[in-house]
Amino acid sequence: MQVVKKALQQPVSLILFIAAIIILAIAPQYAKRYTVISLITILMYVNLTMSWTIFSGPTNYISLASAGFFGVGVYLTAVFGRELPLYALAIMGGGISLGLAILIGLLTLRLKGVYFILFTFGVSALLRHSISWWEATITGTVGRFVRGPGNETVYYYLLGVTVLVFVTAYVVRNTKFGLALQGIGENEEAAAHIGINVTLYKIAGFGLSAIFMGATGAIMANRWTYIDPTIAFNPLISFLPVLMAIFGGTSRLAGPILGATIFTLLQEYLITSYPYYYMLLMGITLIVVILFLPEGLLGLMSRLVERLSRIKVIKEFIARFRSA
Amino acid sequence: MLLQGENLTKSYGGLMAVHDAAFHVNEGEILGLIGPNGAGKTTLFNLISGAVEPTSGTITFKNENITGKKPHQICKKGIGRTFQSSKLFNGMTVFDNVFMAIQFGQSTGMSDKDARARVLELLDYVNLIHEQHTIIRDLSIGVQKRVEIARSLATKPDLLLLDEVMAGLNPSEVESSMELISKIRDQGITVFMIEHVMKAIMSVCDRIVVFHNGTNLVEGTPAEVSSNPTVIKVYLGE
Amino acid sequence: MFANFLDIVITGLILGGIYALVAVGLNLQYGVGRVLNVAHGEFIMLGAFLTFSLFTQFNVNPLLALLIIGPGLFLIGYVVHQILFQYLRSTSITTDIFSGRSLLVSFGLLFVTQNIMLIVWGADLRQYTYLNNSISIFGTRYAMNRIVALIFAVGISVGFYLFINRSRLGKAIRAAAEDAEMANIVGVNIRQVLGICFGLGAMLAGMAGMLISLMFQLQASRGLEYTVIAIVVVVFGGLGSINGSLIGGFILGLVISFVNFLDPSLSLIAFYAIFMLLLIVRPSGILGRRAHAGR
Repeated sequence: MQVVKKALQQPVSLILFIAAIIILAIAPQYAKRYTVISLITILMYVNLTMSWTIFSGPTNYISLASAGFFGVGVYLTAVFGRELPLYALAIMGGGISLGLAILIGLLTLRLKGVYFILFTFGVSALLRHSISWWEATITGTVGRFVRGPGNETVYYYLLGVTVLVFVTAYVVRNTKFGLALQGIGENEEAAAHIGINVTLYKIAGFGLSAIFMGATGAIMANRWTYIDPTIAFNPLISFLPVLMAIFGGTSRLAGPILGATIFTLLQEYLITSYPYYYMLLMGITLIVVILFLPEGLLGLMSRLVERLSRIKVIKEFIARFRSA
Repeated sequence: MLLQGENLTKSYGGLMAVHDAAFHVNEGEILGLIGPNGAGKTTLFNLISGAVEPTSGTITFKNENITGKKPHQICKKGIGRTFQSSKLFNGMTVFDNVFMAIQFGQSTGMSDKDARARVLELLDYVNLIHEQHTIIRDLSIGVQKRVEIARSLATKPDLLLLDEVMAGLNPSEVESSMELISKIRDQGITVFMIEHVMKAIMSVCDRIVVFHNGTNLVEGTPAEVSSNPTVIKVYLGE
Repeated sequence: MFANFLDIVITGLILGGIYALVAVGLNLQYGVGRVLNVAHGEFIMLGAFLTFSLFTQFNVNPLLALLIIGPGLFLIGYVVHQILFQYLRSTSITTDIFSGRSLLVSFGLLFVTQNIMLIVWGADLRQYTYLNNSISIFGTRYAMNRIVALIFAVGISVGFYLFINRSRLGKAIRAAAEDAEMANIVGVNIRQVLGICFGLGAMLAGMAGMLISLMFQLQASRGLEYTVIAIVVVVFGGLGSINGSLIGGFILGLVISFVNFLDPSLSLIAFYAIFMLLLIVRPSGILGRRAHAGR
């Protein structure tokens, strides 16, 4: 396929990708237990942020339904964790999230901008309160307990999803699909008039982004022994991927990964070092980034690279390197 | 008849934007649509291109009923259009705007290489090769309109709807626009155009339809229409 | 039976007043300035906590505290807008981009403000008692502070309604809220108006906070709840319609009060369900202009 050809034309990136996977795959054997736990959290946010960016990045439809998709997976494991193996739960979590996304997509066809954002926010909240009510009134349970596989298994499952999300994101970005989503984001009516089936692409894109969130949720549930709707459908899960994507930058595939990784590490560092001030520091960081780094870290990096390459010494070095 | 509309009505709440309108476009002609502001001309175009669904009535294109179809379907059937305030992909280059239209607008696929060549052909046609790498946002309105024309041609239309392409252009730009429209028709594409610039409409169109208060008033050759007393009253009384 | 009904109505009107003020505040900030301020709830809590401290530390009557909190929060809002959001506005190419970025900046503001409140007032629940004695109306006893809250909630709302609809500045603001572009063309000094509107929004938040402090327990993390309520009321009344937010606030306040009486656990579900149904069926709200929907 054309996409495969394109990937092979970027050997450096391809090698880096494979190297990264290999390193991450053998990491648990050599790393401390605490590192593996950190990596699990990072992978979770990388999955969520990359998934979110698949749809919301090019179309500019900011979705706050992530907590809903993630929570569906978490709750699935909470309810059926004892009966079903993890891979089945992950697939089911993905499947149900897909269904939910398609439903939301059909309901919100005419909604744009802030109305779409608000509706998706409502979905997560409605799910949280409805399941709370159901558990309290109908099943009579208050919270559920999960006794699942250990951290290492969770880690490898998450890594598997990460690879899948990455490949999916790459394929979308480098095919007609991604082009269509971009067109929809730039000018939806123009896109429709040049032959793009806007409804189909929107729902497909939204669905695609939801699948992996649901799978990630089903897997992550095993990290928390106690699950209740407030934990499963935590609103932060909706907001953080958005922040991380903007923080990292959405113009390239590496952006969400960078954003999620650094943001998570930053958050962990701040929470442990300044427990009383970490929200304050996060808030200030966020404001500074949005105000002065509109294109996120990627923007910062490309500007640095541009500045550096203008320095005469480096220019000459590159010229000499090229002619050698 | 290439395109035909009958008993078309579009109401918003209680407001009738278009009311029991009828029209037809013959293959190979340049048909003009004129009328005072608010007469419903753009709404009519919106009904044809599928941007908006009619409350009642039918639209037939190439003997096929296209009423209520979505814009992307109508595009693939062979109708292209430009907009009153140009709708382009503002953050992308001129080249990419036209390229997108080829990628999605033509029912049969084209290889990347051929598509790129075709984009350059179209840009040459509207004299914009030198601007191919410019971002739409940085272009003047006149140039943007030409990009829109190139883009709408990229989808290989049999019928081209032009919505006020000459608005805001200076006299020499109007001249070149008129030449372009004739060139397009000579290529075999039927043109249906809304216009306020009377000189252009009268000299380039074969027939003219006059719209007023949401429905068609008078129809005929430019000479017939411009001497029609009802038309004169409608325009002067405005 | 009647006493129950009256009780629900009074609660509904108090809630309605709070909701109305909170919604109008957010509407001013979004309708005019296109800033979806998720930190709105934090300003509300700030107003509430300040009232609390003024009363418990300096023995200032909460109702009089309004005179300090109103202008104080206005100033904070105005300064925040002129420093943060004005800069953002000047560096954003399109309004949509500005809306998105200001949403995220207000997030940062949320974190910062909430942390400050946590540091100053701690994470525990706080409450003060003021006018705890009760009076008798038609043979039933009502707490004085509720009656006072009711009078103030309705009073401030009515006062603001008159301001928005009768005064010159008020009408200019209302026009700007419904169509900022038009207002700009007509000669309203848009930069000043934007700052003033944001300040007014913060001021109303602070006043609502004072009302909340009279009636409910305070907690530094409760801000987001009120932001969500404000958003729902704003959408219900129509984005950009100040009157819509005023009326919508009271309608929703009464509805919530009734639903709460029937089955408290369903009230939140009903709340969000109505909200989402509204977005699908009539996003422009009860008083909003159709044209606003989908922008």
